[in-house]
Amino acid sequence: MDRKLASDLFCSLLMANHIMSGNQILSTISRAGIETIESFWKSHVNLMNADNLSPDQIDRFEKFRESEVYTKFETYVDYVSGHGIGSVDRLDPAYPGYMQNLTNMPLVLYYKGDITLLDEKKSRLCIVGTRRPSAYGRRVTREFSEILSRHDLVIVSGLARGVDTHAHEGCLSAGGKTIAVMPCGLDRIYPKENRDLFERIAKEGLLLSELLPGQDPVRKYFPARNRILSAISDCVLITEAGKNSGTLHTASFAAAQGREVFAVPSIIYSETAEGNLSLLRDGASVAIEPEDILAYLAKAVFFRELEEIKDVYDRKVLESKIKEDPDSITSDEVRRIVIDYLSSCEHSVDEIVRESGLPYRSVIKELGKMELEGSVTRERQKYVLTIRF
Amino acid sequence: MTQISPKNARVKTLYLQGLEGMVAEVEASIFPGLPSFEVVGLGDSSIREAKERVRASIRSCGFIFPNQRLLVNISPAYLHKSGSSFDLAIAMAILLATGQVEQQVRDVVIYGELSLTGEVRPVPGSVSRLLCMENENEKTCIVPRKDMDEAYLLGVKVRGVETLMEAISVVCGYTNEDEIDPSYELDEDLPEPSVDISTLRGQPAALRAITLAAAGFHNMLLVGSPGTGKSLSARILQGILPPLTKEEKIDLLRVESSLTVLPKESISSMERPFRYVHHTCTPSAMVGGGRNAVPGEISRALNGILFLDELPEFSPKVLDLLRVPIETGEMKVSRNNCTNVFPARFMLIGAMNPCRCGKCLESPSECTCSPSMITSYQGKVSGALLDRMDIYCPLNRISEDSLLETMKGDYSPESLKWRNRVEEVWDRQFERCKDAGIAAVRNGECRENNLGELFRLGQKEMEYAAMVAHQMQLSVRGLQRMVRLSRTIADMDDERDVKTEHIVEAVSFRLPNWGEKK
Repeated sequence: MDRKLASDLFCSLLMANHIMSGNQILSTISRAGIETIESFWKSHVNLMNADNLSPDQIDRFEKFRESEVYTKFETYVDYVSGHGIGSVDRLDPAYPGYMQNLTNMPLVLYYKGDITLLDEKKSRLCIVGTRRPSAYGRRVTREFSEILSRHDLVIVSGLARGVDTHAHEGCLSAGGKTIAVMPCGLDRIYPKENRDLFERIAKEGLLLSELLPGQDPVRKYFPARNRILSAISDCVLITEAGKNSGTLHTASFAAAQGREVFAVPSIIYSETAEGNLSLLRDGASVAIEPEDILAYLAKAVFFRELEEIKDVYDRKVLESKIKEDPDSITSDEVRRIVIDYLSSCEHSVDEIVRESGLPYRSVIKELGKMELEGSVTRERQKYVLTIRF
Repeated sequence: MTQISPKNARVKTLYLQGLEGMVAEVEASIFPGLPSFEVVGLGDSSIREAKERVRASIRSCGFIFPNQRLLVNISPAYLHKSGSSFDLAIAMAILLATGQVEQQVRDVVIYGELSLTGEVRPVPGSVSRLLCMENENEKTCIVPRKDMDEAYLLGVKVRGVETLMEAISVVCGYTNEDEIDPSYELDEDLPEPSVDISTLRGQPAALRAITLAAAGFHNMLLVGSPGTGKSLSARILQGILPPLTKEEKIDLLRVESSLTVLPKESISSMERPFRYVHHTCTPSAMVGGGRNAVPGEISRALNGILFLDELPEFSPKVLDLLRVPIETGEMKVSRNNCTNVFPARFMLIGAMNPCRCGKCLESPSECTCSPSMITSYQGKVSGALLDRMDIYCPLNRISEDSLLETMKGDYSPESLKWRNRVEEVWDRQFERCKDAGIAAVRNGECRENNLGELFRLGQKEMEYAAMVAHQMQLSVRGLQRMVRLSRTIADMDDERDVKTEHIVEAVSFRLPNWGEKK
């Protein structure tokens, strides 16, 4: 039996049966001086006492101990791991840092597929919209998804009918990576007609859910799922959303979580896209072409890198390395030096070469690459850092 | 007066049409009647004046000028002809027609200008004429003595004469064929470069651009404030170009000799042409033209450098005329009923200030130009021409240290080393063309379309280049020019295949979107 998975499942069960809240579990663990949830499972009987629980909670816990899930817990864990489902919890190093900082995030996430898609270095874009898109909405979704996944963006969506399905399909057809966040346990498929897509994402992408395996889709969980969609994404694109669409929940979660919201404009008479228009009126960014999103992400990624570079790279060490053997500097290091020069003010190639002592060839190769990426541009014959993509 | 017989005589001569040597026949006929002398056959005024020179030189050599009705026809009579090269042929035809000279040598071709005292003078167009002779080798060709220099270079057998009398003795078979003894030697070694490449201090970007331009024969645009070394860079570039090959030299001489009588030095020197064109240049002086269609600067820069300093000062009309020859490598000039094709394979080097006062790059605060002035100044060079520039070479003010170094002037010369390197890289390019079964050209002159195959780009590299071109919004031509430059960079690295890193470097030499456009 997978102890880690077992502990995670157990925590989820406690929460699902209203015995303990996620925060309570965490504080109990920290008070007991345990570092991982795994040990919580081992010692839960000792911890589940009056010190930590209210009388009501103890009642419910007693009831839970009699239930079938508890008595046949090991069978349940085997069932879950047999479905290829893994778990990650907030005490794991693998739990994404960008979610740790948000409130109301699940204690445990279940997944199936390639968990590295949640890596902090990757850029993720959430594409969501109505379940009944117009031809326009379908086309926009596919086009954005295809083009943006070619630029190495991971496309996040909810595997629902309509826009979600097109977003996943567009991404897969362009050979990209996609993440589906499910409103049910990962042993369930919802909606049923997306079975093929579900299987494919499990193989080539990543399926995520905070719900226990075995949980059927319930309408009330749909909005809660949306908060995870936006939380794991760098920004959210709404291609087509009706007036009171659930998609708008995702948008408001995104705004609360500090994720940029993009909406694609449409005709003002279009009923299927009223949501888009009202989002735009409320200040969402306009996405007219995929480059709009790339430009925003490039900016975000660039500032993130800039901060990292300033932390990581020790200028003095590199300077002495240059003096010893200028050709031994790797292209990553050259990039760091170049960005360092350019972040103070604009420089010509000649100036960078002279001041850094790097060989001309390595500087120009790096600047050429950066120019293509859009992170520098030439102005008045000098290179300038840019945020344009 | 006694009847003189025979009354008719014919002599072949060579004349110049554009850059082509053409064979013409001069016929002289003598009729009884009132004394007169007519020349027919669409000659211009220089041919009409030939009458007087011929009359005087025949007399000064002690012969009798016929006191009868004399008619000279130059055929083909439907083509316009000009120039003083017909003098000698007319004189000879008259002497033969009057019977004062008896032709012993068959198939004579003869040309040259006559002085009043019977000296034979050289005329422009020697190389084209001699090349035309090459095809008719068994004929005896009598040319001005001066043209023997060119004949030696071309390997054409001719008889050089200095006077009308000498020409007559050749025709009569009195003198034997003389050994060709050139009065010069070909300079296999080029003169020392006027500016050494090591004088370019503290500007590695410009240095790289110049060497790449030379290594692939690429067009280049130099942009920098006044005094940053734009003209200097062009001179340096000239200094690192390898010598002309013999074929190239002959092509060049064909152009040069059509304009003037070549001095000896210009025949012997194997230096590549460097045409420094002033910005007041007219369209016809630039690309060729005029009433008789002579080649212009672009043809005179054949296989060398056409340097246009102060590019925005040129008339836009002149600059835009360059577009077609840059693409096709030749210039067609149509006049009357003939079309002349002048070769125009050259390396275009343009130099310009970034704005009228020249300060907007280095010290924008001191720049006195308004944004609209800057835009209009830069806009004088059309985008179409800029698109044809393979290399954009920025020149900047240099640092204090480098300034100090230039004052000291203790350089070790490096141009000769670079010249050898460039030659190696060219050979590599010629070799590749040979393998592909096409004419040997340098990368910058390559006009093939299947560059991916010819320049050895893999599938991945081609996709990368296309992606870059799309991102930089390059035209098809822009893409091809970028690929050619990538090939040169790879050649400089001794690489068989073009890699993505070469394409990346080529990107940095594409013209940036300049100006203040918002």
